[in-house]
Amino acid sequence: MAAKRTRSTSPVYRKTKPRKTSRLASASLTARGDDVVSLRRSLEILRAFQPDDGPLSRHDIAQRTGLPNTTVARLIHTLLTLGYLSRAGTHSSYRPGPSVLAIGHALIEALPIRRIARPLIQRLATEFDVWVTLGTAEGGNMLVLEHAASLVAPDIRVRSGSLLPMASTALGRAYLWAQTPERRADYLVKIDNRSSESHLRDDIELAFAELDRSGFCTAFGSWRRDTLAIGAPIVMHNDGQVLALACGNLSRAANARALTEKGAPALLRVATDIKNGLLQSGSLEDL
Amino acid sequence: MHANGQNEIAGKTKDRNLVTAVSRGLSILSAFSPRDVWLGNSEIAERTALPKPTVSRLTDTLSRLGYLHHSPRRRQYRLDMAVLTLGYAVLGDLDVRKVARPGMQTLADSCNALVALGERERLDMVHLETCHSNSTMVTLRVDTGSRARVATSAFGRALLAALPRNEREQLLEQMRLHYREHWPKLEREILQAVRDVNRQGFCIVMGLWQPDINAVAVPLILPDSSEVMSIGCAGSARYLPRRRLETEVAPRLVELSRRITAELSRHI
Repeated sequence: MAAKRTRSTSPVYRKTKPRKTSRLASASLTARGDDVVSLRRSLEILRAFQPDDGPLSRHDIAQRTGLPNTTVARLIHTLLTLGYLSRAGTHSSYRPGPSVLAIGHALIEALPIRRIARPLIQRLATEFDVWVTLGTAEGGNMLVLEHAASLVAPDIRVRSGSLLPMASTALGRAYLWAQTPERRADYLVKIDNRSSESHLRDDIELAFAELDRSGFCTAFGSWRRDTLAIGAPIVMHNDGQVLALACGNLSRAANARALTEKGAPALLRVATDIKNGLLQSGSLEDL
Repeated sequence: MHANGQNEIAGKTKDRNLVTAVSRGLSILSAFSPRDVWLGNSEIAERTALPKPTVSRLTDTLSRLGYLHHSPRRRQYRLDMAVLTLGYAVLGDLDVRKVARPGMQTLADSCNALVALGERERLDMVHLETCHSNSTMVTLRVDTGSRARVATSAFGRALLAALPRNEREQLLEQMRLHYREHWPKLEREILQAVRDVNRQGFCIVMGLWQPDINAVAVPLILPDSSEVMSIGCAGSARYLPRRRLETEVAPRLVELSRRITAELSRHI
């Protein structure tokens, strides 16, 4: 098949193109491809920050991204101006800035899954007098996408956008269990390396055994000493996305047996309903 | 709308063009908000004051990278999951949030109000941490990541009062350009708020940020970076009249801010 003649290869264009383009014109010609590159690079700088680090210096950032120091310095300045980075710690260290929080908030508010899941989890919360949390992983933690509680269940101060630990919550353990072996191994290595969490490994394995057996796991007193929770994964087979659903209450208000005998079947039903709701909405193309 | 002075940087050198290009792409992401979930290229162009062809090219790039999701049916974009990889989780671990949270929640519960910690982003305050009492949950749609205006909120004015002088003057100038005919009145109020903070440590805004909502705020200065934030308390005017804010809430906020700074100093 003949190559398509683009403007730049057409002999007419090549002949008439001036040798020395004006500074502005040449700037916009280089800008076209370069601005995409620069945008990607600035986003890479932001992605270099991970939850277990503290603030990063310009040098740290250059090392992690492989970008030249001058590029990093220039892009840091822009990121600071737009609030995507803030100064932190001592001189010339940085952290993600308020704009990152603001777009994260805007995204979570906008996710279709929340609209689908909200009535389902609210009903579960009211029916069993528990709180219910739907979440997915983000940066090694569980990100709460939606949370509901009955009027009677106490407020555990968890809301959309909250981050919960993966190792100690029923939500996180259900998520971990549903991962591919490689991904699960990655997460577990990180947990093993955290002094505050490495002792939870045995509990996590027990949770995996529960999930193998009955499709849900229990977390009694592991996240907060005074809470009971059960959790189950939601695996979207169409795109591989994994979510997790959990419900619970304070130990003094709830009954572990009631939670596992009555609450668990209901939890699993809601998990299926959410999954079906998501599959249906996919075909409706963006709510 | 933000005063996007950044986009007016005249690109004469390739360097400055690249910086402009980056700020353009990022300002496209910032155009989305809980109120503006779906935006088409024209709407984004309007909001960011960028040329439409530029917007089309950058939204295409951003959606291929996973930061925007395109709906062919709507012919619009919304934010997508990759946005969370830009450091959102890191901010969950922020020291100041962890240190401030318990005191903020206690205050929120005892005053039956919202207590929030804010950081400035150009002409906006972004709420880094929000603690609701049981009664404010429904009435005040303020959450971590939500925005208020520096000029019209107690949070913003308290922060402004504590900025280094040069920075404050630059900011006031940007506001003058942004608020235009509304500026003279706002400026008077803001300068009064600055005087109030200098004199008594706090400032109060009544009914301006949201109708029937009163708020009081104090500056919070981070010991290591000298970054200026603010911490404030807001609630219905009915339960938090000026007198209560002045005599009951303000002193506790001042004390809370002092305690947070002291605690953070110990962490360094």
